[in-house]
Parts: sequence; structure tokens; C-alpha cells
Amino acid sequence: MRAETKLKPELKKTSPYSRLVRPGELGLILELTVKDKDGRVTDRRTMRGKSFLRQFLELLFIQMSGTYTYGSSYPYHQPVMYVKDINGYLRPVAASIYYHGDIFDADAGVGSTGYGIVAGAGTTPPNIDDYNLESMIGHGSGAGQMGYGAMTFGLPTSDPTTSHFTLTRDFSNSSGVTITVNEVGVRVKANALKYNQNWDTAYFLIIRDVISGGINVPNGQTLTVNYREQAAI
Amino acid sequence: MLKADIILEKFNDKGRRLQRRRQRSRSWTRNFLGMLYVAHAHLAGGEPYSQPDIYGNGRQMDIEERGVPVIVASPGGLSVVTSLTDYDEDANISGDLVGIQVGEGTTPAAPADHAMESRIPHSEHVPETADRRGECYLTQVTPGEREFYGNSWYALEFQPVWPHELWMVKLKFYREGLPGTVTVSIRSSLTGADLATETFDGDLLTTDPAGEWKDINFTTKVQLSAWATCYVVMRATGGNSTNSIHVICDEDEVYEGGRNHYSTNGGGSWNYHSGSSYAYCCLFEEFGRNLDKGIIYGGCEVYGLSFTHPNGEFRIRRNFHNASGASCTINEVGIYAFGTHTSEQGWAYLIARDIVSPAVAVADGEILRVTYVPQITV
Repeated sequence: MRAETKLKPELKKTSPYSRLVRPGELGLILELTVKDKDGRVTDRRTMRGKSFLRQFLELLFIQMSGTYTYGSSYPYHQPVMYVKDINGYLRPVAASIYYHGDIFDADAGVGSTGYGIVAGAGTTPPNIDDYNLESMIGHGSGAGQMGYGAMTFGLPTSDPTTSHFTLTRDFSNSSGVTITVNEVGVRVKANALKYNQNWDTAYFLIIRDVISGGINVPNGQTLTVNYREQAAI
Repeated sequence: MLKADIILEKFNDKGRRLQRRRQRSRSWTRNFLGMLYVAHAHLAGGEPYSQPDIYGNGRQMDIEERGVPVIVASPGGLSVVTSLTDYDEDANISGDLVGIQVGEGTTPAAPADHAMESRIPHSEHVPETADRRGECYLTQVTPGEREFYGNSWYALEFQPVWPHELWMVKLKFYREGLPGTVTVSIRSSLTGADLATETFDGDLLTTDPAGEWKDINFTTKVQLSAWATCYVVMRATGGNSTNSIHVICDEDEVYEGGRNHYSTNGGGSWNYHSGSSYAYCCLFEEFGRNLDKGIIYGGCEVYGLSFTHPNGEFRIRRNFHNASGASCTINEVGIYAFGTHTSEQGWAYLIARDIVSPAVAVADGEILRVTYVPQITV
């Protein structure tokens, strides 16, 4: 009940960023902008993103603790932690596996839904144990699909009281009908050990936010999702 | 939201807890966001991002090999932290520069802070209260001497291998005639300013060519850094060729920490002799006190990951043992993280800094435990 209360939307058309992240927080500011094919803004919302998930803290823990595994030639215990991927499987992850770490990689290209900012239709409030969007919107132009653009990033910057950087992605609707986006999140890529201590790529959801009431993206229009990670002093 | 609490606990030397306090951390820095940015944007070796390290130098980071290590866990004291930066290449850093830090600074934290304002260093050293001999050269392979008077000056170069305040220099002299006042000064460069100066009456020195040891006690104590070249400059400006000072030397060049220098124009320019039977390195001893003090940095632990919806947290913890012989006051705490670049280099970055209010006084023998508790709440 408490969680539901906390998830009441804080939708503000023109909220100053500084009010959305309180002193002492490293928080998320979620900007949603819908534009028509001529670039005119048809809807814009700014809200306090609330939902760093379990996987975010687990991956940060792995980075800070410096867990490292090299390969089968190491005679001792392989120091890994188990983190749930977007398919619900616990994957053994370390800050570096063989020569590759790549933790927190969100630099997805066009059409890649495995990582980067993702969009969905689910409306269930976030839970810290969420490991995927409730109802992922796929890439494409078919029914219920949106075109995933390439991720872009804004450089870190600061003023006397805050510092921030941004992650941005466009979602274009060419499906022929309006699509309502109710949830957005951030997936990241990392390397995980697999059989015989080889490794492969795994994907983890680190952020999930539900947009109260959803945001409609009419056919032919584009939704730009801007996640701003901001720290305030 | 990611937040953090800071827990400050103080224990006596028997492990009994004397104090426990919890306050909200307010100060994730821009550098922390910079490290997350490099990770999210997946900046590879050819496209590094630069941000200031703890010494204020712009340093590049990338995701090569370890994917932007924000390493905070570290062993205690000066033990090394290692991270791979490329195939079979690694970067190393002293453990005390990674993890939780303490300091005496009181200026409020700002997003662009790149270091503790006044970090208390890791040190097990107790400030010395008596003089200890540092560099010396007492060998005379081939006995010799050098004479100085008027504009003919003489200087000894030496290089201490431990940091200390210079309290006294011993030199061996005799006089010829009545040379008058002798001036001995300390310089960091031959033509630089005197950092400390003492004089004595040269007319009271022995005339025995075997010489006598003279203690030069400096009122101003010059702080010498390890391996920083230092000069002892001698002159008797009122003297002349028949009223001069002779300093006892070794004509061979055995001392590896420096050499002799001479000037014929009152210190305006300098030359030196070198080579066997021509070196004239003077006999000397120097004494001083290492007044370094700090606090002993224990290992920095990262542990205690736990979740109960809607909350999750883990802990970063380090003990600081004050064995300095005196009390110290902790006004600021922070976290240094180790980040690397593919060029086989790595640096420490300040990722959090907080003012401790009120300050915590840690008496000699006491242990301060600082725990950061990063938390998320959905």
C-alpha cells in the first residue's frame, strides 16, 4: 500500500529539475516528449523517476567491490555474484570477466531492444525485484511495435548544487494506430559466465518507471525518452 | 533514488564502543556521475572521457577490460589495488587512496569537488621528539679540504631519503687567520633564496688542520622531502685568501647523494669538481625530525547487500586507527574510487564527500569506523 501511494505521479508540465531530486539523492528525472512528423511538440511531461531496481544496486556493488574473474586457469574460487537477467535467470557476473567487464553498458544502436532505454505497455507499479518490463513494446512498424532509435548520451555537467548526465532514445510509431506507453526503463548489458567458464552477454533491467495514465504516441509521431541521472547536494 | 547514510562509530583501544552516530550523506559528486556516464555510454579506448583525479589533473577513463571499475574495496594501508587495463596489462594504486577517506576540511561539499579538502593521510608514524641522523658522509678515502672566503663560496649538495625537518648540520672546519663571521644556509637550489640561515664566529674555530666538528643548529626548520635535493651553502664574506675557512673534505667522490659546488662570484653562479682526487665532497652529518602523522587506514570493505521491497542497500566500511600520539578531528569523510584507462594507467577519483557535523574528535589510541550505506527505494 505504501509503495502504491509513493507511485502517485508527480507529473509537472514545467517542473524545475532541481525540485525533482532532493539534496543527498542521486536520482532520476524522466522527460517524455512527443513530437509530430514536423517536429512540433504535442505532449511533454517531466516527472521524478523513482525506480532504480535491485539489479542496479547489485551491479554497483559488483563494481565497487571489484569482483574479478579471469578464467579457468585460476585455481581458486571464481568471485562472482548472481544477478537476475531480463529473462529471469540468475547470471554469474563480475566486474571483469576474462578481459571484459562492460557492466552498465546502455549504448544500444538502432533497433536493439536488448539494452538501452526501453518502452512497454505494463501498468503494474514497480517492485524492487522487477527484472524486466511488464509488457515490452518490440522494435518494428507492425501492430504494437515502435521503432527504437540509437541511444545518445549527454555529457556530465554540474552547477553549484547539482550534477547530471542524460540518456536519450527516440521511439517512433509507424504502426498505423496510436500506441500508449505506460512504462519505460533502462536495460544494460554486461558479461556473464556460462558453461566451462566461458562468457557471453547478459542483459539486466536497472530502472523501471510507470507513467501514470500512460502517454499516447499517435501514428506518425515520435516519443523521446530522456533519463537524466542527477545528483543534488 | 540512490541515497546514502553515514554511520560514524568510535571505539577505544579495547574495542568498546564510545559513540555511534548516523547522518544523511548529501554529496555524490560529479565524478561519480562521470564514471556512470562512461559505463552507460560504453566509451572504449579510442573515445575516453576526462575528469579530474584527486590531485586535480584531468585523467581519461574508458571501459576497456573492466568496464569502468568504480573500485572502492581495498586492502589496508599501503597495500596495492590492481586492475587490468588491457591484455596482460594492469594499473596499480596504493590501497589507502581507494575507499573511504577522512579529513579535517570544513568547507561544504560541492558537485565539482575532486578531492578531500584536507585529507588525513595514512600513516603509522608517530612524530619524532628528538633529532635523528639523516644523511651523512664521514669517509675520507683521500683526505682533502676546500677553502672559502670573500666571494669564494662553497656548497654541499645532499639528498635525504626520508622526509624530515632539518634541525642541525655538522661540518668540520679549521680557520686560517681571522676570517670573521661564517654564514651557513639551506637552499633548495643553489641560486635560490636561503630557507634557513645561521652564523657563527669563524675566529673561534681551531687552527689545527685536522679541523673540528661544528654544530650548526637552525632556528628555522626547513621541511625536507624525501629525494628532494638540498644544499648547504657556506661563506665567510669578510675573509680573504689569508683569512679563510677550510672545510674538511674527501677528494674522492664516494657519496652518492650529492657533490660539492663552488662559486667565485658570491653565489651568482656555481660549478663543481668531480672525479677521483678532485671531488672535495665535505664531511657532514645532518639531523632532523620526521613530524609526519596521520591515521592508520584499515581495509575498506564492501559488503552487506540486502533487499526488502521497496528498499535495498549495501555497506562500505573502513576503520581508522589513530596511533599518532595526539588527537585528531574528523570534519569530512568521503569515498575515493579507482578508475582505469586502457593505457595501463589508473587514478583515484572522489565520488562522494560529506561534512561531518558535529566533528568527531578521535583521541590517540581510538578507532573511528566510518560506514557508508548506499540505499535505493522504489
